[in-house]
Amino acid sequence: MKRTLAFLAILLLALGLAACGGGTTEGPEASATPQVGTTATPSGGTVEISFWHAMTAANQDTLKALTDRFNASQDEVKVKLQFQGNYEENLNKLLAARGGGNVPALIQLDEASIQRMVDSGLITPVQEFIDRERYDLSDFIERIISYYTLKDTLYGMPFNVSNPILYYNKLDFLEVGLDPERPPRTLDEVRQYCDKLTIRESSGRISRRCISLEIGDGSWYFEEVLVKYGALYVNNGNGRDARASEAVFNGPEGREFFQWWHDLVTSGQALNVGRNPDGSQHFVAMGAHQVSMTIGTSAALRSIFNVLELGQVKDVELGTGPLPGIEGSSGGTSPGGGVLWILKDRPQAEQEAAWKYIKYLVDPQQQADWYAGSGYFPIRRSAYDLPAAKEAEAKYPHLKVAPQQFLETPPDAMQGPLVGPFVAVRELIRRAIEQTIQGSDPTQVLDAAARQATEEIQEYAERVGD
Amino acid sequence: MAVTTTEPLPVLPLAGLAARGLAQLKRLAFALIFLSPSIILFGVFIFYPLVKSVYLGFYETDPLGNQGDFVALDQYRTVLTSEDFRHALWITVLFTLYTVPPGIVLGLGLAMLANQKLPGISIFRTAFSSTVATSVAVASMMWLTLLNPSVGLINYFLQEADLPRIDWLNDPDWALLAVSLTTIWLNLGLATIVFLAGLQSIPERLYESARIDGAGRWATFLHVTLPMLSPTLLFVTVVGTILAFESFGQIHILTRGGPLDATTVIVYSIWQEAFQRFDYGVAAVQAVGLFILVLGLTGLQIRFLERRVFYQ
Repeated sequence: MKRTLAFLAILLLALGLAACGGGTTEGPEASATPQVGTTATPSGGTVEISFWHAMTAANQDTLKALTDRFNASQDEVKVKLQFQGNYEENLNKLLAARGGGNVPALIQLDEASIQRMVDSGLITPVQEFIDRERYDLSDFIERIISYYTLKDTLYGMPFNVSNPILYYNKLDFLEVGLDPERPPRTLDEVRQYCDKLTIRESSGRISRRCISLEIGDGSWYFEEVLVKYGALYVNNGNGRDARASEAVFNGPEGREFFQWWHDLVTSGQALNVGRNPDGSQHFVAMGAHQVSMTIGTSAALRSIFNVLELGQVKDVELGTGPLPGIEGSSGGTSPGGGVLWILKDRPQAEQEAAWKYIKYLVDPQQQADWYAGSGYFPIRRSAYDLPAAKEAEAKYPHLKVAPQQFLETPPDAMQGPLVGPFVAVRELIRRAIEQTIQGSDPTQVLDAAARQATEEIQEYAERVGD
Repeated sequence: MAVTTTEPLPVLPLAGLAARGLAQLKRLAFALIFLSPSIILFGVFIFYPLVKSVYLGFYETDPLGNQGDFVALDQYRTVLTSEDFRHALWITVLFTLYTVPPGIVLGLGLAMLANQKLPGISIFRTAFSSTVATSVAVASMMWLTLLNPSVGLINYFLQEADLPRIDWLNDPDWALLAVSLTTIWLNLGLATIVFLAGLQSIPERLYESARIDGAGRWATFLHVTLPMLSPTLLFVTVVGTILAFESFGQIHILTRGGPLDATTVIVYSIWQEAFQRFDYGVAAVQAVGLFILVLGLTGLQIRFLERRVFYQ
C-alpha cells in the first residue's frame, strides 16, 4: 500500500494527465513566459510558424514526434510548438496578445471555442483554403466536420477528437459478482452497479467507493449526456438554426443527470474529486483502489496505458465502455477535443504554412499515429484501415470504445451546442454541480444555472450581434 | 555611489556656476543610468499596468474582450454593490487572518530555534528558510499531491491514526484552511530569514544587562527581544498582509476558487472576470479597488503599528 501510494504520488506530480475539455494542468511549465518568436524569413526559403497547443503527458510527446517528422520531411515550413497551458489558458493568452503582433499563426482550442472564435474576427476560416485548392473533405467523418461548420463555412480544422468514456476495474466487478465484460450503459445502471460495488465495513465506514466523479470536465460530460439523448442545451436547435438566446438544459434529462450526480455523492457511493486541477485525480483514485469506476476523456487512454505498463499499479485490469447515458438515448455523441485555428493577423506566408501543417496533421497516416499515441480518435475514415491504427487497436482494444460510440450516431442526430460565452456557462454548470453535491436540490440549482446562463447568452448576443 | 565632482574653476564666477550646473547634470545622468533598469522594469510592469487599469475601469468591455463605451464610474458602482465582490473581500480578510498571524508566530519560533549557537546550525537555517526558493507553482503541486482526495499522504496519516479523513480541497468548510496551510508553509521561509536577521542584530550586551538585572527567559523575550524586533515585526506584518492580498497561484492550482467560491479571494475574482467572462473593465475596477485597499491598509498598519515600533 505504502509503495503504491508513494508511487502514485510521484506519478501524479510527473503527469498532468487529462488533455481534453476543461481542467488541465497549470504546472510549472504553464507559468513560463510565452515566447514571441514568430518570424517569417523574408528571404524565401523556410517559413517559421508558432503553434500554441494544449497537449500534456503522452499526447504532448506524440504531437512533438509528429511535428518533428513534419519539420524533417520538408524545408518550406518549420513549426515551433509552444505549450501555453490548457485550452482556456490558450484562449486567454490569445486574447491578451492580439493586436500586439505576438499571436501565433496557429492555435489549438477546445470544441467550446467555436462560436467565440467565429465572432471574434481573429481567424481566417480554413474554408478559404479548402475552396481555393478544392481540398477533398469526403474522407472526413461528416459529423466532426459539421460540428465546426457554421453557415456552410468550416471555420477551424478539427484535429484531436475525443469523447468521454467509462473506465472501470474488471477485477472489482468480478469480486462483487458483476460481469466484467458488461459495463453499465445508463445512469440508472450505474446506480445499480454502485449498490454492489460500494463496500461498507461493519462500522458503516465506506472502504471503497463505486465511482470517482470530477467536476472540472463535469460540464462537458453533461453536454455529452444531453446530446446522446437528443435533449437541447440551448434553444434554436442548440444555436445552429440561429444564434441561441436561451439556455434550456434544465429539462427532465438535465435534471436526471443532476439528480444522479447528487445522489451518488451524497450517499457516499461516489468520491468527489472536485475541480480536479491536475486532470488526473479521478484516474488516480481508481489506480489506488479507492473506486471501481470513473468517467474520463478518451484522450487520457495512451497516458493510462503508459502508467499501467510500468507495472506498479497492482490489481487493476482496465475495462472501458461508452459514456453511460439516459435511458432511451439513441446513442451518438458530440466531438469533444480540440480544433486548430489559423490567425488572420499573421502574414499570408505564415497562414499558408499553417495550412500546410494542418493538412499534414489531418492526413490519414498522422491521424492513425495520433490515435495510437494519444487516445484521440481519427477524423478520417481511411485512417482506421491503416496498419498503424489496426496494430494499435489490436494491442489496445480500449482505443475502439470512443470512436465506436461516436460513429454509432444516427445520421439525423442532434449536433452539439454552440454557445458564445461557453467558458462562463460551463463554469455555471460546474458551480451548480458543486452546489448539488453539498446537498442543494438538483432541480433548483439547475434552474438557477439556466437562468444565469440565459443572462450570459443574452448579454453576449446583444453586444456581439450578427 | 561615489561620484567625483569636478572642481569649480576659480577664475570666473560665472564659468564656475556653469561648471557646477553641468556637474549636477552629469551626476543626475549618472544616477539615471544606474537607476534605469529599475525605472524601466517598474514602469513597464507596475506603473503602466496601474495607469492602464484605472483607464480600463472607465470603459465597458464587450464579450469578445474589445474595449467598448466610456461609462465613467458605472462599473465602480456595479462592483461596489455586488454581492460577489463583498464575498471575495470577506474571503480575502479571512485568508489574511488565517495566514499572517500564524506565519509570524511560526516564523519567529523557527528563527529563535535557528538563532542558537550550535554546531551544524546552518543546516537548520537553510532548511527553515528553504521555502523562499520554492515557487508558488511547485509548492502548490506538492500540496495538491499531499492533499489528494484519494492518495494524499496527509489523509493516509489521519487514517492510520484512526482519525476521519478530511476532504481538504473539495469541502467548502476546509478548502480555505487547506489553501492557507499551503500559503503559511510557502511564506514561512521569508519570515524566518527576516526574523533571524532581526534577532542577530540585537546586541549581546542588552541580554547581558537583562541577565544582570535578574530577568528570566520570558522577561528577556518580552522586554528585550520583542521591542528590539519590533521593526522586523512591522515589516513582516506589512509584507505578509500584502502577500496574502495578492495570492493567486496556490488558489488557482489547488481549488480554482472553489468549491462554491469558498476560496475566491479578490485576485481570483479579478481573474474570473477577466479570463472566464472576458470582462476586462470590471476586472480592472476590482484591481483598482484592491490597490486602494492594500495601500490604505498598509498606511494604517504603518501609522498605528509604527508608534509601537522601537528603533534603536
